[in-house]
Amino acid sequence: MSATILDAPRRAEPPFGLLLAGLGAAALVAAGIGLLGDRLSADAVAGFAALLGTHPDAAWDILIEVRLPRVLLGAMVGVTLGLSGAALQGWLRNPLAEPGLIGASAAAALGAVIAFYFGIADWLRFALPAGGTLGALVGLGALLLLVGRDPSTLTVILAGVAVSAFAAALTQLALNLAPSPYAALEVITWMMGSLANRSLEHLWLALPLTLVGWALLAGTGRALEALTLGEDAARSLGVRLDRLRWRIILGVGLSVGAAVSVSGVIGFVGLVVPHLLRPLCGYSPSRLLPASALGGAALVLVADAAVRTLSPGPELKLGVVTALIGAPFFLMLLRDVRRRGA
Amino acid sequence: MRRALHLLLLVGVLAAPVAAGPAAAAADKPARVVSLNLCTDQLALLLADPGQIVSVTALGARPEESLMAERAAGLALNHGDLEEVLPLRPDLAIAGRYTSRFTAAALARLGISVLELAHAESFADVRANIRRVAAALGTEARGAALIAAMDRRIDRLRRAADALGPAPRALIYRAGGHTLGPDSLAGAVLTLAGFENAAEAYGIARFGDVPVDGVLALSPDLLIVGVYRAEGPSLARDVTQHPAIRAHGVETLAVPTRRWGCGVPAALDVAERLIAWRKAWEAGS
Repeated sequence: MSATILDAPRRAEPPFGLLLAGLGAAALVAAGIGLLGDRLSADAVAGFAALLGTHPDAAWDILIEVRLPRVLLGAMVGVTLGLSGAALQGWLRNPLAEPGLIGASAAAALGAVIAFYFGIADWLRFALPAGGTLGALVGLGALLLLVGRDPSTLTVILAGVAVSAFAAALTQLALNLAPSPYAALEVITWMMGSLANRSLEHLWLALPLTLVGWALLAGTGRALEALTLGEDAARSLGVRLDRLRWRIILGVGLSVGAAVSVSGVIGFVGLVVPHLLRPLCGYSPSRLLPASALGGAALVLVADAAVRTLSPGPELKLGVVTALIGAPFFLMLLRDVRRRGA
Repeated sequence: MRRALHLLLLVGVLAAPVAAGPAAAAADKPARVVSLNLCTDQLALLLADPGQIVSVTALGARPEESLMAERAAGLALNHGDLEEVLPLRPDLAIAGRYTSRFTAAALARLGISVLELAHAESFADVRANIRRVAAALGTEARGAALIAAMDRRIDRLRRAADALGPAPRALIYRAGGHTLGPDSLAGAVLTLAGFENAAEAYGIARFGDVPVDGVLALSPDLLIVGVYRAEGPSLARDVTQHPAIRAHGVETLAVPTRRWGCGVPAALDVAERLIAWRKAWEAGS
């Protein structure tokens, strides 16, 4: 049955294996740039190569303890955003659905900020990703309550705007109430995302919840495939829609919550990546999931390499770059959606 | 923004009076002095006669911020706002150059003497600021004695530092990776204690930021970590606690920022502590 669905819209898309390999290679190249690239431009520190010659132990520690965690976290966050975007778009059959736009990311940031700045994460490190996940799940719950039983494209986006705005305001409030005088200055990092100064510890903290989330989302391919035929057809094919909903909400909540708790909100990745890759996957949601995961990793890693090497003066926030790419894209999609609706 | 914050927090001393009050005769001492800045609080409390100061900042009364907090007991506390200060009918206000500028300018317009001080970036600045505040308070003799005692202590510390071996390399590391170069008060304390300031090798003369990989590349013998209000979690604080620094085995010494954040003679306590560290380091290596 699903074979015919896959075969139906087949056009001149590349072989699926080749597509995945290409995306994986792009991610690896971007990761390589991330490991090589550095901001040590001051006179006395002539560059990494020179350091490798004179102080190999320092160079090695920089590579393993500073740059590697940054690249690995970038890949983790990218996979999460790409996968979540593809799953949400398939489930809601809404080309604009994305963890950032529906408010899950902003709500995750609120949860992480509360856990971090009020000392809960000092007491128990795992509270940081747990707070992010809890925030994301509350945000998704609020979204579903607002949308009710009519998840039309624009209702979902409007509800997402409301959840995002409310969560962002509460985040700002929490940062102002936080005991540290630096907290209020760090709102940009949470709202626009950054991978600067992360360590392997952050990776170990965020990875467990993220992996559970990925596993939940990765298993939705067949159900999403059936859902392209409509809810009734999917039901007749044996898809349990309530179970699919819980899988996707939990999967997005766990993985996006954990990712945002270590990177802040990085917008538009989950929107752009599935969209660019959908035609290349033959419009098949089950193929789009792994492709978007790899594509998300590649996009975040490229954006992070750009942030590190191209920033004039202080380092730009990662979300600035992804929004510069993603916001025009979003407007373009919005125009298409309206045209189709009219 | 971090720099702005830093300046706001630490600004102390020196500059020209914005406006001399019309009736500021040198002979009679001001009797109702308000201080609008954490660093001027400490200088004013050091130099004033009992009862001469009527108000210091709320920060200046907190022992975790100010070295002179116990002397602020019982004084009116302000937050640099005009409406708090004016009812105290001050005859002299002492302000930092970068803090409470609106309040300082408004007080000057109302004919109240305002002494505006820049942040001390060297021992010479500390001396000049002490003289300036002492002159404004009419306690010149106390100021001169304070400067003389400070200079004697500087000489003693310099001799103690010179008696030790080759200079270790140290990097001051504050929240968010902020560091201070040799042309700063903390840099001067570091130099006095006989350290080479690693920030200079990074191209930083006064202040700047060094990322974590920069710390590893510089590999200083000592990382002097100080975070303002370290008990509150923040991303900026976590930069100073990055696991890579521990993994690379950089030795760290915690020095609270209040100890040498303001240009007061007590900042020399840090030099004492750094010299003690050098002795232990030479014995150990």
